[in-house]
Amino acid sequence: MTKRRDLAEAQGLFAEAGATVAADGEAAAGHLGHRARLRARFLKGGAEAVADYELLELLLFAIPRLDTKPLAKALIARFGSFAGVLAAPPEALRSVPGVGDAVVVTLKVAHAAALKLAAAEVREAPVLNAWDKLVAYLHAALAREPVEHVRVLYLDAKNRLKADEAHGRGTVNHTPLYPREIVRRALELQATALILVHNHPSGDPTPSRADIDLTREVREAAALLGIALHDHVIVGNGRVASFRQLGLL
Amino acid sequence: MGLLRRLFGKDAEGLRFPEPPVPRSRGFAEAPAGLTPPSDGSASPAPAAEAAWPRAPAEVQFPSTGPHGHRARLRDKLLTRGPDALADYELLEMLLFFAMPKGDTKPLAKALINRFGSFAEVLAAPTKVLLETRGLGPHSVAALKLVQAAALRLARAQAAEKPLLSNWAQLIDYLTAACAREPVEQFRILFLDPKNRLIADEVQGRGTVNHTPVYPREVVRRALELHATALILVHNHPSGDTTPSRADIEMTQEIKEAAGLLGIVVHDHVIIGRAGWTSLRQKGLL
Repeated sequence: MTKRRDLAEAQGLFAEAGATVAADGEAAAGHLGHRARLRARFLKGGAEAVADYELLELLLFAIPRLDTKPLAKALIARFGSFAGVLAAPPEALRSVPGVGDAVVVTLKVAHAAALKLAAAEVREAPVLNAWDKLVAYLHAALAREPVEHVRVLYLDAKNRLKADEAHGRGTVNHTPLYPREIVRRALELQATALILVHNHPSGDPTPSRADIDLTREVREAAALLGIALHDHVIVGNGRVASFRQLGLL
Repeated sequence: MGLLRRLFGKDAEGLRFPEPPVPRSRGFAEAPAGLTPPSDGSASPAPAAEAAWPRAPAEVQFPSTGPHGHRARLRDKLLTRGPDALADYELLEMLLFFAMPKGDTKPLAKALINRFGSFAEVLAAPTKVLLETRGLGPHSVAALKLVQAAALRLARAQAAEKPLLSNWAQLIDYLTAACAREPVEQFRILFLDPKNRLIADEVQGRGTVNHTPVYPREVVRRALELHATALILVHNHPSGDTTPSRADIEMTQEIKEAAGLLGIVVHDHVIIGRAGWTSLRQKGLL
């Protein structure tokens, strides 16, 4: 598959888009100078050059007539960090004064795009060769969830990611797991290997007895049908536990 | 350490809070449905007379068949079905909304993906190259680069500054600091996570505690909202003694029962006053 299309065609489309959309970039004069300067500082120095609340402001600039600085600071105070704000559920966001639909959508778009980006980094090479990227993606997706979620990564014969699916969600300290459904889905997808993933909202990824027992069940059920369970990763706060690395698989 | 710690006494110092109960069930199971034969003698009811065709357009499904409302539809899809419901180019379209208050960003989104190869490659392209791309200006490029920053931040640990309250010493330290700032009479609830870390400390009512109604249902609702698995009730009697009243004990029992039904443990109810502390757990009243 050619990744680069004919540039002329692409540029023709850009010309079209340039003609129909409103002029990008605001006037640098007046109160909008603050925005232009913050944007310029960010584009030049990256995320490290701006504070967490400024990163949030940059996103909130998308909303017209919004006083972004106090709102950004209030959101950071409530949710702890830029990442915490992005990961916060809509209901919690709405309980902050000044947050309406426009703010929620803006934050959720950024969050969704960030997760998609992290996931995309995992798809190119065989998953087990890109362990760091896999951990980064799993952490981004699950570390801040207030309840337990189970995801299953289905791999092909070359250990490339075929599918990454939510298997279920539970409560703050428990979630159901159905070995039968996992194996059924693996057969459907013609996957030859699996990686189980779930999160511990408490932040401590240490496997529990139940985690270990259920993992063995899944491994045995899958093995019956020639499917390997490569690992079970538990996502905590800033760290993960790998059953394989812990010698539990 | 302070007055309160000295007044408290050593008995309960070793008291530890038990772990909250982990549900034992594997999840809900449905009983397999049997086949029920139709009851005798009941013919299916006669079908209602067909409405006249074609139907009068009382209300159409699509108010417009044009591109109007496209942005609203994308937003609805994101909010109701989540990010997995959106294609890569649709998310890119929505990112471009940040910079373009009007207009159709779909052609630009698709063209960008064509030019750079994939959604991820658009976002990862060097700032300089993006700024030089026709159709993109500083505002839209900043939006794209913010996504990269977000992905990196989400991969990092979150600072856990919440205090740990898994034993008496820690609880006393916390309450000493917290109550020292609040000299008035009040009732507060500490909501804890499964590791006994403090999620929230919420004052229920100030003034006359005896007249502040505390509804078990509301307490439990809030605990569920916060994903708390344990509670510590605290009330403050700066002028009175700390003997628990009949009402205090009954209210605590009610909350404990309601919370217990949902897997939430009440670790203790602590009454603080000039004379010192009383712990209902230590007194065996919980």
